[in-house]
Amino acid sequence: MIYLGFGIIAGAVLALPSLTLSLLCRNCKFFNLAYGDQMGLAAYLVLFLNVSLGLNFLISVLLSLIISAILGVIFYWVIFKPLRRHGPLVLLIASLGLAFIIHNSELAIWGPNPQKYNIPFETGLRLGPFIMTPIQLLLIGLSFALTGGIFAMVRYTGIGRAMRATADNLELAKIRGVNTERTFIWTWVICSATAGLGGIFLALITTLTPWTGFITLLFLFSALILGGVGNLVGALVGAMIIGLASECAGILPVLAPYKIAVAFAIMFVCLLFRPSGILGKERGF
Amino acid sequence: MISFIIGIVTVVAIYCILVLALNIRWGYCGLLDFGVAGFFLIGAYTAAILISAPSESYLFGVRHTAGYGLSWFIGLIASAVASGSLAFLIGIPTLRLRGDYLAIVTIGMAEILRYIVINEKWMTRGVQGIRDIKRPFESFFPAASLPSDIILLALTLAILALFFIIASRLFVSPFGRVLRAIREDEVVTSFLGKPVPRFKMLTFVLGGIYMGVAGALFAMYVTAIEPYQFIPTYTFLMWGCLIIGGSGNNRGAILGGALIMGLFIQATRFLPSIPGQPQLIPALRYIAVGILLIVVLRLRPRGLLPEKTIKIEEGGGVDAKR
Repeated sequence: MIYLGFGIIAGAVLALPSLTLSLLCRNCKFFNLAYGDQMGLAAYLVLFLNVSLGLNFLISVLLSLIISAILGVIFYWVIFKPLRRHGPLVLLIASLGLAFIIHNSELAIWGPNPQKYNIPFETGLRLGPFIMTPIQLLLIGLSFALTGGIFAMVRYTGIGRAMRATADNLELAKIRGVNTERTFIWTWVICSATAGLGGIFLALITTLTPWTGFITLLFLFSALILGGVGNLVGALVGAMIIGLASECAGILPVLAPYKIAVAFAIMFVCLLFRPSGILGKERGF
Repeated sequence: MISFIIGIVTVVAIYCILVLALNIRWGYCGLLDFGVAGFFLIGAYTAAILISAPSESYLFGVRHTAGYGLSWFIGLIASAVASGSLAFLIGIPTLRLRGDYLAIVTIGMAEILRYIVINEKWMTRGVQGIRDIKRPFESFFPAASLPSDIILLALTLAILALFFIIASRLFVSPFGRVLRAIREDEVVTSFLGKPVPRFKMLTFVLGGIYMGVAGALFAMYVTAIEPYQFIPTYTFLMWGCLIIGGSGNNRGAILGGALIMGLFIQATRFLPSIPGQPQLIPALRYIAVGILLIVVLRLRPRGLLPEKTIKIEEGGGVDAKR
């Protein structure tokens, strides 16, 4: 039962970044391998602002999200936009390069040791069969609320409509007068900021090392492929399944060190029998 | 000093084999493989377990015997077979799909393999790693002596030369032509009646064999391996070598491997490290390689030595340019 509780926390924390990663993949038509390290970088920025500069935790979270959104747009302008004409595979290689630049910057500045935020220690509350700390409850709530917010934005707002049109057919969207360039920038802003938030959530429930981002990326991609790439509902379902399955694997002592392997085994089976994912993938993947 | 130089040349040559394998996969056929470190690991551990002398370890009171003490040649062949089989298994679900899926699966596979060798201590001795891996002809020339280093260097260079010749012949052969056609346009190639999945699988397995052999040579060179030597950073470095050197061109692959791994990574051994910040200089090197990779992709996407365009003489000398 306790593993189920861990699984729900893991699934909830994975849900938000996997949703926005799905959005990013759908709009830009490539897998962004730097996404995990973007998450890690935002978490480290909070560490810098909160612990080193001694700012209030909420203010440092806000500043860090703004910085990571700006960085996301810079990455898009400097790296991904000029390389777009070479096709998705070259973009993938470039994102790998970016991932290693970010990862090694974290390593150079903050070192390889695990870090923790300067927030008070909390004791767990007993909720029926589960034990959770107040902060974990808050994270689950926030994660689901923001997930709903992203869905509403994609579904009902003008920028969401423009995003869907751009993802569906770039040329047609251009002809119909959608400002696709602005749509791309908004996509990067939203996805980078939520990536940062996901990274901060992750650093709050575990410790933060320069490898956190890369390992999370593997979980996110298993969730994405399981749910169907570019399918937003699928990304949520995939994140919950991967979070629950990889944490519940801890029941068997043999599988305890192999959380990633469990997530990947599920993805591998899915690719063998239903390569489009359980809910079907977006066109173009 | 001379054995130091021999050592650097050997290890750079081993990395060049990896870059060559990556060139066959990506440069020829457009297969996006981010699991170089994983195939390298499989080769190295297979060879290490087979070659190293039998030794006993106790884990939770249970006795385990690791090491079979077999000949180095058997180890080399077994590494090639193991790594090739792994490539085959990974290829089954992924080679039918868009190239991105292969990238994701290989990147995860490499990481999982590393977790396995860290955790399955009965077989691999975990983070302690496997020690005392025998070198070729160790009964005649003791380890850590100059002749032993020279023999390993000669073996490595011979294998590199052999692989280079095979790869170059492959490039101009009809087989290689189909691979390049697949890279440029898969759909058109399959319309021309070529069995695209089979070509991709053969290429992927061939790359796996190359990487497995490189792993075996690496195990023999360092004589003691541990999981830390197979972190994803190496995959990324091999990509840096290939893209900067020039993908699709074997000379470019070797040049990139020698430049990045030889000058960039090895030469900084001579740089002093900053006291109190031991991880700063190594991390800065990787950042530099990453920036170089992106700059080359943007400004000179075909690398230092671009792929050769082959002139086809039949039918009035058509210029087959990329």
